[in-house]
Amino acid sequence: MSSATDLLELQRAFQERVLGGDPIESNRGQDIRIGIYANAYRLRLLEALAHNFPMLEQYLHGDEFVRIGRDYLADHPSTAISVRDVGAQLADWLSDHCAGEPWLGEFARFEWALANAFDARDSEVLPLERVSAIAADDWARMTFAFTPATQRLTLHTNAPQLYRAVAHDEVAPRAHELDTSCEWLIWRRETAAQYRSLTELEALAFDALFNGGTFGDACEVMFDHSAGDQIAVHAAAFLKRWLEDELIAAHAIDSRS
Amino acid sequence: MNDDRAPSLGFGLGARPVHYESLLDEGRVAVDWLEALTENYLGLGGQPLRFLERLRERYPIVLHGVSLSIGSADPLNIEYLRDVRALADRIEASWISDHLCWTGVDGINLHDLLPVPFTETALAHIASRISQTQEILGRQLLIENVSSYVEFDAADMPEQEFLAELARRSDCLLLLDVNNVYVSSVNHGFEPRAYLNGLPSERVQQIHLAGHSRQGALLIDTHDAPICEAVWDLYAHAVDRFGSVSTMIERDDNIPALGDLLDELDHARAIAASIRSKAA
Repeated sequence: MSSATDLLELQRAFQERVLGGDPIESNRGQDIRIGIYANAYRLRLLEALAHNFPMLEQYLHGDEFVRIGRDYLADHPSTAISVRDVGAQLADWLSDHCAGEPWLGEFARFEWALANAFDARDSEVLPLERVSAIAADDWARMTFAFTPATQRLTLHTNAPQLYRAVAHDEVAPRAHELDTSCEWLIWRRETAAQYRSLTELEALAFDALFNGGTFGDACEVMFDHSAGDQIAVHAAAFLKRWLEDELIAAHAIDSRS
Repeated sequence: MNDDRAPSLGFGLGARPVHYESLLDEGRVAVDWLEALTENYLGLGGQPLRFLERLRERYPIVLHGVSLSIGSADPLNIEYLRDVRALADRIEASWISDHLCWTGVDGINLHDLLPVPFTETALAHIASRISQTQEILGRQLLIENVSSYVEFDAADMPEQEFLAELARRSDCLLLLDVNNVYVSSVNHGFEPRAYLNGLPSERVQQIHLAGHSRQGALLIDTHDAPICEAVWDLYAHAVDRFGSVSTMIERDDNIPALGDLLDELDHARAIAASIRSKAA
């Protein structure tokens, strides 16, 4: 080997054999030895996937999870720095490859979001008093930054109920699609990941702020949804709960309007 | 060169989540320092980082990475290195280590510590990357020898010579994994003491001890068993040759109660004390 190109070619050839899973049954010494790396690769990544999705693994039982994991890894060799992120595309992959069982992809999406909430980067939490002290004239122009743990999901199956049943060691209900989609909020309080469903009205208000809109924008979409003179009161109540639940990291007054 | 290694931290353990509570117990725990796996905390917050910070209040901590891929033909991941530096600064890590290996090419990560060919070309490539890495990290890096199951025909020199020259050219330090030396010596049929004798003693700043398993004629670096007698013997030779070096036990599978690992750590202490008293 005399050049950096040769190093690249050597590593490509080695990697191809590890990913391809060269047969360990071969009697040739070098094949057996590379087979050790190939077997270790598959075992390590399957173990990482099971660690990423412990509830999905339980829901699917071991064998089916392993079959899915192998097929997924064959399509998605890891590009992650940490094995913690090996399953980043599993939800999308399941949605594509198990379209007849849409709750599987949503189960993975839900569990992945909870894992992300659990170890998301830390951030400040905006105290309720800081918002209460803002002058009434400025409220409509308030914008908010949410904590890195905060996530929103719109799901079309009862995947969260399946997840909850497995997590609480209960008999899972029948998996099914919903007549209308359900809105979910996922976040972290102290060190524990949290989740709850949102009403349509709360989801509209939340998304307006989550996507960078002002408190005034949130009131406007709420009014468009269900006109009434109590809208601002409802919006303030939602905001109070989000602050108390430690979803919001910071606020600003939008100077554009 | 002069011996400018950091003073020994004593006898430590790999920080594993299953032992966090015991390590934070009010009573005295006979562990002098901890090694944390870098990637378990990188870019993360919440409970993992909080535990690490609580552990840091009680113990010196060194960071041990598995994703640097210093031997890869792919470009260095600069963003990763900046994140490692930020984590090391945040917890005031005593030092940072990673492996003499590659983990993948073309953007793929096989999440394994794959052996590099011990050639002049690879040496120049890796020495230059270690220098660049040390510049970004703002400190010397410790490079660890890995266990291997294959050797490349193209090798120009034995592994210990490669490591010694690498350390000299890049001015890095070494993390000697005694178990890895033993595993590779059985797998490739070399004399493990000769390997240790070929390393520059003024560069060895940390020692790893671990268990392994057997698969047919090969030994596999599984970190799932107690340290075997042959590795303890080799450790005694390492203490004799490298002096008082920060030593720790790695256990990643079949992890026993903390007390069992503390017993093994006491055995390491006893061996080191015995060798030092003979030398005195």
